[in-house]
Amino acid sequence: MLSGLWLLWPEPVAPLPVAALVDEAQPTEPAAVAPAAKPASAPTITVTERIPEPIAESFKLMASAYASELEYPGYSRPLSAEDSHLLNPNVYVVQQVPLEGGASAAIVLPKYRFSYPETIPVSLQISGLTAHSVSVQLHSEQNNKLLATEAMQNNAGQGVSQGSDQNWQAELEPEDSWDGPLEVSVTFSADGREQTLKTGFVYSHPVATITGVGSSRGVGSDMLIPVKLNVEQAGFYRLRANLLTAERQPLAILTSTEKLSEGETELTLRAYKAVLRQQEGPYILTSFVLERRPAVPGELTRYGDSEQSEYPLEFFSLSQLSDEPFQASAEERQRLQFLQQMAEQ
Amino acid sequence: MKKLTGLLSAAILGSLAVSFKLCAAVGSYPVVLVHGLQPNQLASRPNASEVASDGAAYWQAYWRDRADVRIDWPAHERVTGKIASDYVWPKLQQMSQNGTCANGCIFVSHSTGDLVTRYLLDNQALWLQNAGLQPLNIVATFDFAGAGGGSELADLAVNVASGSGLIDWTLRLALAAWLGEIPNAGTVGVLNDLRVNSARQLASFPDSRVPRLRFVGAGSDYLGATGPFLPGTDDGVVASHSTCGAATAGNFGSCSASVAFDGKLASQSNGVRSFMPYHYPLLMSEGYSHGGLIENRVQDEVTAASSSASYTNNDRLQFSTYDEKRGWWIFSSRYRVVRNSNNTSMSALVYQAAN
Repeated sequence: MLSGLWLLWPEPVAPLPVAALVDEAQPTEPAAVAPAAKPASAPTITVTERIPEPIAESFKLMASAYASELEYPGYSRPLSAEDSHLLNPNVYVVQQVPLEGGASAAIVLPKYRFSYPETIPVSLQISGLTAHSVSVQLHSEQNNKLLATEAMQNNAGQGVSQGSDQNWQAELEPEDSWDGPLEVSVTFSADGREQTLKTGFVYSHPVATITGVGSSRGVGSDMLIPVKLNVEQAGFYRLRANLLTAERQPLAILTSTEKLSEGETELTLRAYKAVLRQQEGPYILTSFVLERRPAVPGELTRYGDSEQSEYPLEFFSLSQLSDEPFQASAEERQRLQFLQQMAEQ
Repeated sequence: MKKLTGLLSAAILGSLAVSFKLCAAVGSYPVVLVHGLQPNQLASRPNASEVASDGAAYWQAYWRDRADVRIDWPAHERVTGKIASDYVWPKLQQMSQNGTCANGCIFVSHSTGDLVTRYLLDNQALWLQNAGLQPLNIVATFDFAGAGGGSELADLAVNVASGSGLIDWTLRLALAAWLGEIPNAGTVGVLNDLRVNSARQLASFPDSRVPRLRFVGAGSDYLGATGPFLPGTDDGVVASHSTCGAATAGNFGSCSASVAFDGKLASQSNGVRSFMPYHYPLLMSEGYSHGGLIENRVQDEVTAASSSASYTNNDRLQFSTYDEKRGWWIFSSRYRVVRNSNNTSMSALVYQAAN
């Protein structure tokens, strides 16, 4: 089928060359690049080929991608080194604010979520402007209550810096009542004017703490990993953790949601055999995100913490596990069917 | 006669209602709409009925009459606060009790509605179960100009709202163009949630594996005034890291590693290569603006963002050859365009593809 063809003529106008025949879904093989011996000074023409494609083609590719996802259970998803957002779930993305005269400033936090009793290091990075009288304030986002205020020091410790790039810092000591979304406000003066910048983060008084990891065991096609918890507030908890090889190669992100009571308890993570990629350990369990989920609308997510940032898992014989393929849920199969139907329109 | 006319009218209305019902579906599934930020609401603080009428107006160009339910919410509130408790929750209960999604439904979101939808996807089953109700069976979401990854403009607006003593004047102009007026500290509302860090940390990975289909533009409603303050390619309000559903915030020039926004088949060095879980960019277009994606007008041709194996080999995308007979160098570029996108709006293309 003939597709659209546009010809742009940077050189003197010449008769149109033949139109290209292009298959709609599969572009024709292009000709090989011409030998270098051909004259570089020859007239040139630019040919733009347009390849119309039915929208169904896109759905076909997407349905295929979604089908691949459903080969694994949602509680045990393969992880690769490219999944930086899953490998680093607590990253804070610095936001620059443009100021007059090409200057800029940004509040920098080392991460987005903090747990009591961690201190909160706050930096103000300024470029192209000489600031002074820099201070930081902390407010609750929920009721705007002032929680802390502190003067910031430049990194040379002199209070005022004359350089074009400045880095002002303060470290806020928490109180155990701090909990929930907080707002950092940094105020500074320059050129006789005052400016306040703001950013948000979450501070949590941990509602549960991971205290250890028990021995793994096999059930069906899953390696079960018992995670020991001390729960201070009962509720619906979701735990996410990354499973790595001993060489820190990512294997899987594991998720478990359970209703937990107060006190010492366990929550079980499951690693599906296929995500282990023939690796029998030892493993590392790390990057914990422990959430107490909102039971009703309007309630905030609360967070737990872990006594250790990571736990080693011992050798585990994969021969204990079966090779049965994962069966997606009826709803997941319905979703795939919808995408496949769209691909057939 | 009057009675007969009344009966006829009722019959006509009934048939219209039936035909409306038949139309209000995507792939036979009921449609639920979740709109985006309505900047005028930041200061006006609308009541519930005003929120509903604003919601109806928001979608009137195309999707309003093709939907069964709208979840309307006010911009002056927060997603996890009253938006969830006073606006999303009553609709979730209603849909569960009415069985709207019992056999499956499709959510269509725009802009910040993407973020609201993600929070809903993460929590609706737990909330409804706790209330003794059946969770919704959400089959897929269609996200136009999705802001689930936040918008740097929201970060800047919150900063400018706390005082603009040293703020660059072009930034103030850009924010005024976007929001109509510069907000103050008391009128930032949902902009707090739309900040990049806050948005990306809000229900970042719902357990329910609902496919999120992304429809993305790279035009601008503000003559490009906002673009300098958004990383990479943007649609005038949201950067492509957010609209494409990229795993990380950053400077991206395309939702694809092998197709440009204008459809040119060429390796994209700054194309998105890693996405948020179950996020799939489907269509993109250089000319569609943030608001234009849900209008019923053609702003440009549309290309497919997904890449098949046919398009991953760069050698096949661009080539040059020497025509011995004529003595010309021929440089060829290939563009992929979605059929009928020259005369059908992006929203209509999507709707028609499913029906």
